[in-house]
Formats: sequence, structure tokens, C-alpha cells
Amino acid sequence: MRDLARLGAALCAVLVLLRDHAIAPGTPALWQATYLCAAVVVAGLSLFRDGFATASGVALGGHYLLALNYGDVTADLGAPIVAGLVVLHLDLLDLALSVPRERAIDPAFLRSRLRHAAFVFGLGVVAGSVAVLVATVDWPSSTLTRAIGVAGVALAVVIPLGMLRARR
Amino acid sequence: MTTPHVGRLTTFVALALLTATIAGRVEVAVLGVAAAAVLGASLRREAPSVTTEVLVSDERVYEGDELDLTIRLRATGDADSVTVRLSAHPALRVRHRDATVTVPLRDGETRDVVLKAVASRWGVLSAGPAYVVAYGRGRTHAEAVVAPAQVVRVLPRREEFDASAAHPHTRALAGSHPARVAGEGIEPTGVREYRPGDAFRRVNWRVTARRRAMHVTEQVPERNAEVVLFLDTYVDRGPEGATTLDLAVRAGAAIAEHYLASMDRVGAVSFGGVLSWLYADAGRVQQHRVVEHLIGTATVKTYADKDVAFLPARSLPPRALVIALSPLLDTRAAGAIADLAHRGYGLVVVDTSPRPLLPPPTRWARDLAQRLFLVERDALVHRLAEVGVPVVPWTGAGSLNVVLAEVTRLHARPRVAMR
Repeated sequence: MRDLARLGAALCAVLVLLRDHAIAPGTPALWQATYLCAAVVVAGLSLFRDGFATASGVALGGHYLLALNYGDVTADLGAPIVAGLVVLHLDLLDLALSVPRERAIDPAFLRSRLRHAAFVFGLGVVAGSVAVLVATVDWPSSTLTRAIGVAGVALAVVIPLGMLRARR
Repeated sequence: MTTPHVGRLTTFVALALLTATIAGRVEVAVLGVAAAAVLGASLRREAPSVTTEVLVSDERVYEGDELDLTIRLRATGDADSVTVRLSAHPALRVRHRDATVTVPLRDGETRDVVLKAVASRWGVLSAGPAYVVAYGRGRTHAEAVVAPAQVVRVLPRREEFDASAAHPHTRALAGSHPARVAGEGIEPTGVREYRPGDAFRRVNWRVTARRRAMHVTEQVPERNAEVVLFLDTYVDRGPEGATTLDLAVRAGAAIAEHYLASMDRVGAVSFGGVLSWLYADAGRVQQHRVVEHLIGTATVKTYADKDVAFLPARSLPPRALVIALSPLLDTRAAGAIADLAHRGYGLVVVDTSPRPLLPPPTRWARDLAQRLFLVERDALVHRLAEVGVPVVPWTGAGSLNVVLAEVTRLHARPRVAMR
């Protein structure tokens, strides 16, 4: 199961990188970033360390940001798909980290993980689409709006941490 | 407890949203929002609680038998995956591919993970503990549980053993060994002239008619004997499953089974780093006791010298036949065996020699070392023979017959006593 999860995570990363190159085709600087990103992703897939797994997801996000900049894209409507792939990549990496290597795979566990992967990808796409919809609304550009945005960012970080502490 | 996945997603969300704010790209914020949504959905799930126990299909098996080790899992709350890793005794061989199993478990579900194991060596072996890690849905919560180990008693493989030679000393209780003195019994040993006091029913009428004088049939009573298995547990050499101690335990179990079936009393003494003993007794229960004693033996390294005087007197009954099972690699054990011979016990050493296990010499130095080792060993066997201790290699059925007959003959000969 561990190797299947690694394979799935690698596939997600490859899809994200291909999508990035579709946004900004033939950009030498993006290729250099791709090599760097690929190295981090391979480290995340092979070294089984939490830090490398997180860095792998962050590297994919950074690569996407570079592709958007090099491709001069004003609005990428495929962002929810990329978000779903990146989140799925992180989820599969977590599975690869937490499940021991074993040859015999329980069929029920495989089915359960496939359902969960579909759920994670779907939730990522839906949440991303909602975020894109919210972003397309013509909000009044003011200091108050920016403050609300920053507060939203802060809450997005603080709320999970608060929930985490409550669980403990 | 929470898993590192929570920290990973939280870090990703924070970095994505901060980068989006600084770079002014909503697409990057979308990544953060997607990750936050997955994190929120996962954290809402209840943490699972798993109880587990290890069950064994047979608590007593023989070497080479297969048994089922079942890890029973019960979940309260949905568990995305439950990873079970069984840490069994190395002699309880669980197939590597089955040693770790990951299964899903629903709320209230009970699931048995059955692992096949082979008992490869005798002993009291632990099946477990089982380490269980259960992840909740979303893999943001996990619980680790340890199931305590169960004990499996692996009895030594049954070896064929048979001995028909007479015992050097028998006891006054009924058994199946003919005594060395004439008396009331059913085993005829000869015919002699009638003497006053002889029972009339013992008159041999055919011989009387032929010789024209009263003759009676002489008989010997059937008696039982006491046998003590003397295990040398100072050293254990050889490959796994065929060590000198393995051979001694298997031979000991076979000898005990044979003599107990003949209504003899059998005891055992483990003589090595740890002294332990079992008083001689008869019957089927004693068979179990002897085997339990044998599978409980182990070599414990020690530099202390031991003496048979440390043993309680009842563990070595007078006139018992002592069958010492020893590889004769430790001089302390050889000294104890010689001491027993001096004390007048009928004694046989069953040599569980590592000689057949020696690798073929490939270099002259190894060849020389092996030759020196064998010369020293032969000298030790010779010294034991000088004090009347026969040494015989264990070859299974009938291997002790000749030497037991020799011991009986030695003990039957007249002795010179000092007055």
C-alpha cells in the first residue's frame, strides 16, 4: 500500500507540473524551477520524513505560482483542479509515511483509500471552486476589505490550530 | 493524539494564504483554501478507540507444527486504517509478508487478523505483543495500543527411542524390569533342585519326572527403576534448530517417554548456569512435568563453578540410573558427571556432540584447530571411561541398549570392600 500511495502521489505531482508547463510553455526559468521542484518531490517520496513531505507540497505550490507569473495569466480557472491535485498529493504522501511496507494489501483497505482519495480530491476541487467564485465577486477595493482579507487569512491558520488544541 | 498530517496541512494552508496575500494571486489562495477544507473535514471526525488482544489456536504444539495467531480488533469510532505488527519470538516464525497487516475498521466492528506461524523450536515462546496503530478518518488522529503477549509451549519433536537392556538397579515396587535377584514373579529364569520352603506350585513337573528329583522353576520379580535425566546446560552450540541443547532436549523427552511408559520413575536435573530439578515420579502427569521442565531449560552464561552437592538429595535418588545428556564442551559438567560416577550411580553419558556440525576445514589453521579440539574431546571421553562412565552418541532408537547392558554388568560385578 505504501508503494501504491507513493505512486499516486508522484502521479499527482507530475500532473501538476505538466499543467504548470501548459500554462507557461517553453519557459527556461520554469524548467529550472521544475528540476528543483522535482528534486524536492522525489525527496518527499523517498526519504519518509514529515518535513520533506510538507516541502514537497509547498514546492508544488511555489512552482504553480511561478508558472502563473511566467505565463502572464490573469485568472486561471483550472486552479481548483490544481488545488485538488496538490491536496491529494499531500494526503497520499501522508499515507505513504504512516503505513508500513507490506506485500499483501487488504482489498477493503484499498477500496476505502480509493473512496477517501476521491473525497479529498473532490473536496479540494469544490473548496477551490468556491474560493474562485468568491474571488470573482467585485469586492470594493478599500483598506477595510484588505483588513478583512488578512483577518480571514489569520483565522484560516488560527482555527485549525484551535481545533487541534481542543482535541488534545 | 493528532498525527503529523495536521501540522503538514496547517503549514501548507498558512504558507499558501500568506504567499497569496503578498503576491496578490488568488490561485495560490485557492490551494490554501482547498487544504483548509480538507483539514477542517478531517478534524471533525471522531478519533477511533481500538481494543485488541492476541489469541493463539493451540497453547501446546510440537516442533514444526503450524498454528494460528489471531489478533482480535474492536473499534469504537471509524478507523481509516489499523496497522497491526506482531512481535513474536523468533522461533515462532510468522511469514514476513504477514507480520504487518493494515486493515480498515468501522465503528463497532470486530475483526480478526489471522497470521499463520510455524513453531520452529521447542521452548516457552511468546506470541506477541502486538503493536496496533489506528488512524481515524482523515488520518488526523491516531491511537496506539499494545496487546499483551500470549505464551505458546512448543514441545520437542518426538524422537524414536527404545531400550530393552536391564537396569543396573531396580526398586522394590512393581514395574516391567526383571530384578537381578530371584523372587516372586512371572519371569522364569531357570530351574533348580527343590529346597525346603519352596512353594509347591513352583514345582516343574516335567524336569522332576525326567531327573527323578523334585525341581522348581526359579522366577524373578518385575520391578521398576528410577531414571534421572541430567542435562548439561552450560553451553549450547550449533545452528538454530539443531544445537547441542536441541538434541539433548529432544533425546531427553524421548527417553522420559520410554521409561515412563515402562512404569519407571523419571526425574530431571538441569545443570548449568541455573540449577533446576524435578523430583522423580511415575505416570502420565510426570510425562508432562518432565517435558515442561525440558522446554524451560536454557543456557545461562556463568563463570561460577557448580557441584552436584548443591542439588537436593531427592533430585538424585540413590541407585538411580542417571542418563547425562551433554556435549562435553564444558569441563565443569564433565567434572560433575565424574563426581556422580564416584558416588556410585549407574551412569551413561549421551553425547550430544557438535562434531557432526563442524564445518569442513578450508584452511590449515582451521584444520589444526579442529584436530586439537577433537583430540581434547577424545581425551575427556577417555578420562570418563577410566572412571567407569560410558559415553555413547545419540542415534535414536536402541542407541543406549549396548551401553546400558554394559552399565548393568559393571554394577553386577563383585566389589572389594575395605574394612
